[in-house]
Amino acid sequence: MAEIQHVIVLMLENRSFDSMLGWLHPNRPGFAGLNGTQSNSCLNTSYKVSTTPPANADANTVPTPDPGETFTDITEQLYGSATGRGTAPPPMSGFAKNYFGQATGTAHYDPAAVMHSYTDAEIPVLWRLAQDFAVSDQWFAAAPCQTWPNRFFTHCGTCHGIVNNSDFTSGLHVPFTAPSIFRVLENAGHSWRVYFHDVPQSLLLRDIEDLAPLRYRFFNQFLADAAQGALPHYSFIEPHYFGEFFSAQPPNDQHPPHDVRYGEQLTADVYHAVRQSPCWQNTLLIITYDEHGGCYDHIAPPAAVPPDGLGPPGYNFNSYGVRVPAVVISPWIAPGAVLQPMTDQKQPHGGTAYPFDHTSIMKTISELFALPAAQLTPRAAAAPSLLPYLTLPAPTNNGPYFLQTPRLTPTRPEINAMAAELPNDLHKALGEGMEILHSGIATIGHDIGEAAETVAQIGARAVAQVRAFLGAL
Amino acid sequence: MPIWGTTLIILAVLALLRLSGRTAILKDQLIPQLPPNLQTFSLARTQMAWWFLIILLCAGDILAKRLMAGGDAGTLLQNLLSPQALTLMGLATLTAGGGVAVDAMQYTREDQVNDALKQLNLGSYADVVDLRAKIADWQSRTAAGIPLTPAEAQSIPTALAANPGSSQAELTTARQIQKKAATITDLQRLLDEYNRQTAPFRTQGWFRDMVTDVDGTALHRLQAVAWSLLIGAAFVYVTFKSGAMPQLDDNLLGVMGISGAGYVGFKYNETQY
Repeated sequence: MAEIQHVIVLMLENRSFDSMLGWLHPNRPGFAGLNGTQSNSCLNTSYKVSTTPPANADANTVPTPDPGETFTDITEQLYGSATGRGTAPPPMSGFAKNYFGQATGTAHYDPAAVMHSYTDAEIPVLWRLAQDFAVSDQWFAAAPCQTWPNRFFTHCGTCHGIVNNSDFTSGLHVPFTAPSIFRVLENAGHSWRVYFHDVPQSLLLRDIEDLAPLRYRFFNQFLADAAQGALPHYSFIEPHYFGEFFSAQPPNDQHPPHDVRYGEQLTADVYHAVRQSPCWQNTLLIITYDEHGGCYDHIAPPAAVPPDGLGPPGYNFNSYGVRVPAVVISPWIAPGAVLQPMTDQKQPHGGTAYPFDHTSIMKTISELFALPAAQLTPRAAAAPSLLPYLTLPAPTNNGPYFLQTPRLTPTRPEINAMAAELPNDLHKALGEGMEILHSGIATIGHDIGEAAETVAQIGARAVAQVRAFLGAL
Repeated sequence: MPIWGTTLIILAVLALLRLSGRTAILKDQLIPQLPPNLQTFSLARTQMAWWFLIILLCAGDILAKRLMAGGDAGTLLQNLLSPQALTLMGLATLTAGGGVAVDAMQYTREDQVNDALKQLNLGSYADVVDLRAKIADWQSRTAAGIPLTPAEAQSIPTALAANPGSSQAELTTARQIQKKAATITDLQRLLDEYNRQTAPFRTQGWFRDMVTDVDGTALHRLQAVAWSLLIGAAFVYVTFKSGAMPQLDDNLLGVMGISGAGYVGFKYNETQY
């Protein structure tokens, strides 16, 4: 039995499994990756999956611009039509069409961008970790939705049936009231921390509001805690969503069209901290992505257990979202393992084993620390735990001690261009959510529309709200 | 040295310090959002001013003595400046120019803060003054109960929990109050951020600005200050005593050159706070 005492989750943004790891094991039998034949059609043109960036595209920022990712967009991506939900399994046929349809005015959205896949040439850190430790080709976003529903699923096992980021703020669902794994751990006497860079999305959980000033720390503290062997039982790491322009730090969340190399640096920093920590031999590190963000994946999301029956008309979260990358790192895991559902695992429904989704994190933590099972939603209760996959008899898979990564420093024009960009849906929602959290009201949404506020402006407002809420850290 | 000469030097130095405290004459203004009196002093500019002042005063002293001695008008300006005086002024100017070039070549912390503040529409100190005025205006309007303009009222908060049984008028009033509070909070947060981000770049007084960088006292700065003070004082003393600018030893000029070059070289790696 693996002796795990520390679970660490790094959750990045908006990339599908195929877009990041689709070509990881092209010749490995049973690996659900790409073979070059997968395609989508748009305007009678077939767009095949490819590792070649579209013409005139920067190889590190594909897809640019950001694809659509609302519930309606994702429905079209899966079913080929925005009203097509209902047939199962979805044909995964509308990614190219939906992306092309995002264009307004003179903007050009080349459908090839969402059919693109990265390789180890651009993302060597993620690939190396996936090869030296374990990767799951059966890990799905918890819901076919945006960031917030999926992140709430990660922490709470449900999103209370809400499908878009903005629906939380406009519908008075902030703070989010579902019980979280953090509170369960707290009540059971286990330590936890959220390490963040600018604006922690998880701060919107109501049941830990009172604990947040004690448990939320900047990312630098994670590095220090790891170095001192002082990691808590559960660590959740949130990336830079906006960037920190006062110190020229770009966003490192890998949300399109952000440069993937900054996320690679973050991944390497987290891995190095864990690998070189005194806690290493008792650690499980999970690197995953909250949702696919409009990037193509060829595996249809299977049926899932509805968490609470809530949802928009015609959908009660009885299926997963699109597949996302999940790399599982521990000295207790066999090198090169591919994690797939164990067919002999007992399922509450008695049927086929469920794949992994974000609620597998809750399930794993619950099993590991013997937390009360009643705290899990039906979705999380049915999720497979990662513990049975830690199969080595001793912590012998030490992996690389150090990963060579180029330390990118953005130039002054690059930073200024990032700061002057218009915010994406996530930025807007985070800005509005933090405003509601601290002052109880939201004006930011209107201000963005009125004054075309930039990433730097809305980010500064959101960060100021976080600082005011958490006090001096 | 005659008493009037000493008095003149003291007065000139005091005038320069007074002027430099209020204006940006000895400052690089790398954070233009700070008012002149809060900008940090520049070592290179100060050195340039130091040698300019010394040589000007010394030349004035020599001229005054020649005039009082009633010498030939044709020789009044002969050998007024020594070659070493020109070398010292040149070194000071080169050091200042080198410092400016280093700042221009690098993407410094000052650049990052300056750029980020510009992104928040705080491009100059005038914008900061405007921001403070806006906060004061909103606060006074709130205190006086002045209602929102129709344009302002459009951005009424969306997440307002109304008390059960509230009338429409009560709801409107409550929303207006919340909108004002949110606006004041927003503006105040922006001002707080400005204060927080610019705090490390505010002057800590002339001497500390001269000899410190982000890591504390910097040897390359300390040596530049020490040699400038020592050689400058000796230069004045010798001039006033002998009635001519001194013939400085090549090694002394070399020391000034080395300290200037050291300052420019080390500045490449420093962040001056």
